[in-house]
Amino acid sequence: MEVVSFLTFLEGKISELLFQIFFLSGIVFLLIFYDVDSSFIILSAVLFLSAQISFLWFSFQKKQKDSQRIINLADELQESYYISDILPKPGDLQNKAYYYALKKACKAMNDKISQIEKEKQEYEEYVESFAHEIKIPIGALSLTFDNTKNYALKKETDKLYRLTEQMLYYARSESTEKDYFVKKLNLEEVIHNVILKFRHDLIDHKVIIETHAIDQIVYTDEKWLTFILSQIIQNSIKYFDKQENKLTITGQDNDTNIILSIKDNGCGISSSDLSRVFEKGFTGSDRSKSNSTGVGLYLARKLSFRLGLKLDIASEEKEYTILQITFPKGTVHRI
Amino acid sequence: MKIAIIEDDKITRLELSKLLNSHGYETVLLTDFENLSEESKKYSFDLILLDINLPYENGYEICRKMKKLMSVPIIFVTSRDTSADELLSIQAGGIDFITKPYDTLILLEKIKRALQLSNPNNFRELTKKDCTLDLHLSVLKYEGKSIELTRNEFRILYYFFMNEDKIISKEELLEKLWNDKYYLDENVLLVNMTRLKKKMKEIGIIHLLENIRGKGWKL
Repeated sequence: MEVVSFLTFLEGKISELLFQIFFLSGIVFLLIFYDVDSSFIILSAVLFLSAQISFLWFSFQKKQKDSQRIINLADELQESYYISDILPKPGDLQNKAYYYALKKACKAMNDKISQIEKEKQEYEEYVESFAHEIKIPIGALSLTFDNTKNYALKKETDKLYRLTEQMLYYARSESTEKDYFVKKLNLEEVIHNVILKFRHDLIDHKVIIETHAIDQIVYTDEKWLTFILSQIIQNSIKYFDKQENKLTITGQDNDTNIILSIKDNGCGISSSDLSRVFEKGFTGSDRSKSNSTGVGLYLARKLSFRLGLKLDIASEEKEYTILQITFPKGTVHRI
Repeated sequence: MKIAIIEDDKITRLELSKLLNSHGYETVLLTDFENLSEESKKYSFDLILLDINLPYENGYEICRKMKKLMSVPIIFVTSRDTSADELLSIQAGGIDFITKPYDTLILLEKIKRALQLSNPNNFRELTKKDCTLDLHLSVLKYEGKSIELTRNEFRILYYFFMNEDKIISKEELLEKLWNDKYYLDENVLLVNMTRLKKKMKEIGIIHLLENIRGKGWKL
């Protein structure tokens, strides 16, 4: 907020000033009329004016200081909707009215916010319990199809499960609550489990999997990392388009961090799309791949960020796509 | 080996039992959720698969009670997957935790680990049909002659030695290999099989692996 100049301050007091000048000239005229010594008149007028001007100047200074204090308070407060609770109480009539209006507005807004927060939390809890409930029938179906070796339906069931999982993590990623548990993990084990999870799809696509130096220790949440890796591998599988499909998973230890690269030789991403793949709802400008929600990579990056990991992408259209996760060493993850 | 299943969803319970039966385990289905500890006294078993959301009492409490009654490993099988659930299950004394929908491969692996069946036998070599597989040197010996096997060939042969008289299909073989971090694709597997047979023929083994048309191979 810009600082008010003395002139603007005077402008606000124009009626008061005009009245005083009018009053002063009245007195001067009266004094002249009664033949008072002109030097006395001038002296009194100058005295009055200078007293008035210095009073105005000081009150301007004070007002400016007070206003600046309020502005600073508002600027320093992170959640500015709490401003009404820390503002100094005003003394004069009009400011009291403003103060009252502000208090009321803030209270209404805070009530609304807590109501929305409560609803959001209830919704998240519902999503969480829904996901758990629906996994019971999905689990039953999955086992049944395994036992009867019905791979077509088993695959459909897997899809059901993955979509449910995505919804669950979407809800979790929005949640302000911390639902992760950082522990020591062997990357190889986590990757192995993800590969196993997708083994049917990978074998069906005749994917050649190569792993290099993935026997590394990282500190992060296992389930979240599994989810992130699943999104990446799922994407790779979806966009394989060559005779020979290849997935290369490489670990690399650079003193300060550990980098995990997952490279596929699928259709790649055009450079115009590349910057947008982490956006929510972005499904690519190629409409022929319509079976995507545009949430996978968005979530992967969001969850990575919350875990304090970095997720990057590089790609050459028609050639390859590389997803890279950077695990910092020895730094505290974001809480 | 006998496994007790405590799970309130009927279909899951029955299918789980079917799955375990087909892999050579006996199963006991405990369904009297009000008096589980009473019911469990009637049977003996080596492992418990325990759901968390159950009528009357939750899985954690049941786990604590069971621990007092007997000393069998307990694996939690559940649809709940938050960190809190995992933590509670460990605190209650469970040795492992697997979430629904189960990946059968992983479930079976965890059961094996819990029953401590998975440590690959401490043998140095396995002998079947006069052929000896040296587990340390990856060498196959027959009538005084021997051939060296590659990593993949050895692994493939190992499964056949461990599952005598069982037909192992291509799919099953792939799953087993993947489970042990050998991510071969079908073509590579077939190439390996062919090469393995050729190698074995060189030292006169033609009777070891039998090709069962359309089904797989058998030792």
